[in-house]
Parts: sequence; C-alpha cells; structure tokens
Amino acid sequence: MKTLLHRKIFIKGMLSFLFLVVFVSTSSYAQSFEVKGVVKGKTQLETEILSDVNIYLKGTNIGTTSNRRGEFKFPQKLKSGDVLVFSFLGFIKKQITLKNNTTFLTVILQEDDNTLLGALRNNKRYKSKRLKQ
Amino acid sequence: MKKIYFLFLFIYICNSNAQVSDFNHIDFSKADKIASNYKNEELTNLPLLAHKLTSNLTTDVEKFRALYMWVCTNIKGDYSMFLKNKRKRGKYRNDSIKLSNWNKSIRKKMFKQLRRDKKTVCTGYAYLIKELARLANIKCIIIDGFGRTSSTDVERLSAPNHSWNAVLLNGKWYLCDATWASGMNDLESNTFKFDFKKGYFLAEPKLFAKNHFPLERRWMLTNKNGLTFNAFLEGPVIYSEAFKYISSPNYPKKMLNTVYKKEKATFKYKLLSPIDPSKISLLISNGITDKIVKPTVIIQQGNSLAFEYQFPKRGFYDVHVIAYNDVLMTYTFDVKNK
Repeated sequence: MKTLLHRKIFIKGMLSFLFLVVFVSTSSYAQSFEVKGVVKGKTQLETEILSDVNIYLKGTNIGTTSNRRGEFKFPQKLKSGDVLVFSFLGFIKKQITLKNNTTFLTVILQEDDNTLLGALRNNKRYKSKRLKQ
Repeated sequence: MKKIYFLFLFIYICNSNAQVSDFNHIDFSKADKIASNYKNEELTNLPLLAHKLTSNLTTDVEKFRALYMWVCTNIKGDYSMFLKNKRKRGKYRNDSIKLSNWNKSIRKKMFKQLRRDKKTVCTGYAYLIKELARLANIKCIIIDGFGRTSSTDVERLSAPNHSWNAVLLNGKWYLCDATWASGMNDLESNTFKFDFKKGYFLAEPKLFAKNHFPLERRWMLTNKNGLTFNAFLEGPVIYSEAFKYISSPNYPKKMLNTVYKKEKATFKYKLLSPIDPSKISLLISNGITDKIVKPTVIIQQGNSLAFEYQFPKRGFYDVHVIAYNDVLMTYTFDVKNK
C-alpha cells in the first residue's frame, strides 16, 4: 500500500517535472531577447576598439553600427539561431549564431592581411632617358 | 548546312577567351544608371551599399557591373600615398621586418582614409571591389602583381607594385582593374581626375597581360603560351586608350627596335573594330622636337591593320602611335646609317 502510494506520488512528480521541462524549453525557444555587445579589431600590432562596424541580421537589412566606444545594441529583439554579421572595411567579416543566453557579445575581428600596393595611371607620355650630349 | 554548323562551333570555341564580349547581349546601362543614382553614398555601411546597388538587378554580371562602376566613379586615387608607399617599399626592400612593419602602419592609414575620404591606392580599390562583390554573393578575389604604365621604370621593376581583381561570372573567371579604369593622376596639377576607361572591365586577357603581370601565372587567364616576365618587361608601352581600339598589338613585339635608314618600320595590329586609317598618325620625338607624321597603310582588311614608316634621318626616336587624339602605344627606334 505504502509502495503504491509512493509510486503514485513519484509518477505525479515525474509528470509535473516533464511538463515543466517541456513548457520551459518551448517557451524559451520562442523567447526573443535583447543583444548588446562590444566590437574590437585585432591587428598584428594591437587589439583596439572598433567604431562604425556594420552589424546586421543575416539575410535582412536590419542592423546597426558600433559607437565610438565599440558598443552596440541591436535595434530589435533576436532569438536563438539568428545569425549576426559583423563587417568592417579592412577586417575579415565575422558571423555569429546566437544561442539562448547570448545577450552580450564581445566580438573580435581579425585584420585582413593585405600587402599594400599601388600603381596609379597617369597622363604622361613615355619619354626615353637620354644621355646629355 | 552541317559544315556551317561545325564552322560556327569552331569559331565559338576559338573565341572562348573570357572577356566582356561574352556579355554582348547584356545592356549595362541599367547597372550604370543605378551606380550613378547612388553617387556620393558613403562607405560607412558596405552591406547596405551593396544591397542598394544590386537588389534591382537580376544577373551577376550586371550586379558586378553596378558595384564596379560605383567604385570607379566614386573612389579617388591617392597619388601622394602611392609615391610614399613606393619610396618606403623600395627603401625597405631588403629588410623584411621593416617592410612588414611599414606595411602594417600604412594599411591602417589606408583603410581609414578609404572609409573617411573615399581616397585610396590600388589595393584599396581591389579590396573594395572584392568586399562589395562578396556582399552580393559574387566570388571575387584580389590579384597582386606587376603593373606597367608609361612611367614604370622596367629596369627597376623587381617587386610587385599593383593589385587588380578576378571575378567568377557564369562559371568563368574574368579580369578587371578598377584603379586604372577610374581615372588618372594629372601630373601637372598633381590632382586626381575621374576619367572612366571602359576597357579594363572584363578585359581581353591577352591585352590585359601586356600591362598586368600576376604573381601567380594562372591568373593571366591566357593559355599556357602566355607571356613570359621578360617579354612583359620588354614589350612596348601600352596606354589605357589602346583598350578602346586594339584587341592585339601584334608587331613590333618589343619596346626597343633597331632599323637601318633605308628600311621601313612596320606596325601590325588586330583591332576591335575598323578604324578610319586617315585618323592614324605617329608622333615622333627625338627628345628635343616632336613631329607628327602619317604612316603608309599597307593592310586594312576587316579588323587587321598594318602600316609602315621610313625614318628620313638616323637617330634615337620615341614613336607614339596615335588614333584620333588618343595615344595608344609607344616604341623606341634606333635608326642607323648603313
């Protein structure tokens, strides 16, 4: 008798636990959250704050830019699985897939390795170098 | 009928070199119009800029054209940075640490200036083209190598000095150079002037190779019988205007030529379309005086053009080939008595 009662309580407990798990997970799945963060740039010399970085939700035109302190607050609430793209001229683009608990991001962009070259066109006609006679 | 079909097939295969004429059926005016509508846009939001320039176009080649056109008509060349960079790279040529440090410091400055003033050197142009193309889902890369202009000192051209792009359209790679298409530095006023040259867009690879020699040979996009580096250095000077008229400068092959007084100097070209031969002239300079002469046209058949000229006096001459008012090529002739 006692064991039967225990079993009943146990089943009841399990059921409510399961219910809780399902409820919580589904509700958090649908939950959207605010995303803030800071963007830095890493060069071979240093890592520093990057302002004016374009941050947008992949596949949309919704986005923002980082401020003078490298900080940003995404203009709309995001959900788990959304991909944020960080793009800045001269640095390698970075994509970050959001997880449930990502409400604050510290993003470090790596400087793109370019050798700076430059030959510009001019309007000069070719002139041979001649020895002075 | 079958024979004609095979003939066409044969001609088609022979012309399969990647160039702008592959897209003759496409009218670029819509893409160009979009680029001019967004003139004066800033570089602060590249994804948005790429979206604005390409979202109303359907084909990749038109999208790429809009991006390319926008860059060519909005980004200025920075001649003073070019000179400074050239000087420093020359100075640190044999010191890899100093060269690498210099590169790091100038790179940061270059991108800052590009973002803020829309002013750059060729790496900046090529980088911007690549980034915008990638944002529009078009595969595009930067090609580093040697560029030859009228002021390039070929005897000292040992380190790469130029960057341009290769772009993948409809499964085929094409070449373009936004830096040289965009404009030029006016040496008298030392300011940059926008002056769009259409010939550097999806250029004919063989002609492009006359003034662009890539570090990796395969990016020449010509067949394996392509130019060697020596032939590149020894070739005549070719100007941007040449891309308007010429598809292949066949002869003389070299910059330095020797003729005897009684001989004739011969010039042979394959043209993009026939030119009125009376509009061809030679500007001949002996270093002190310039004179304009009319060569004798010997072949003028379809797109083939050949002409010759006999020098009346011995001497060392710079010979510039001119069509209408455009200088196309320069050669030198050492004319000797016999």
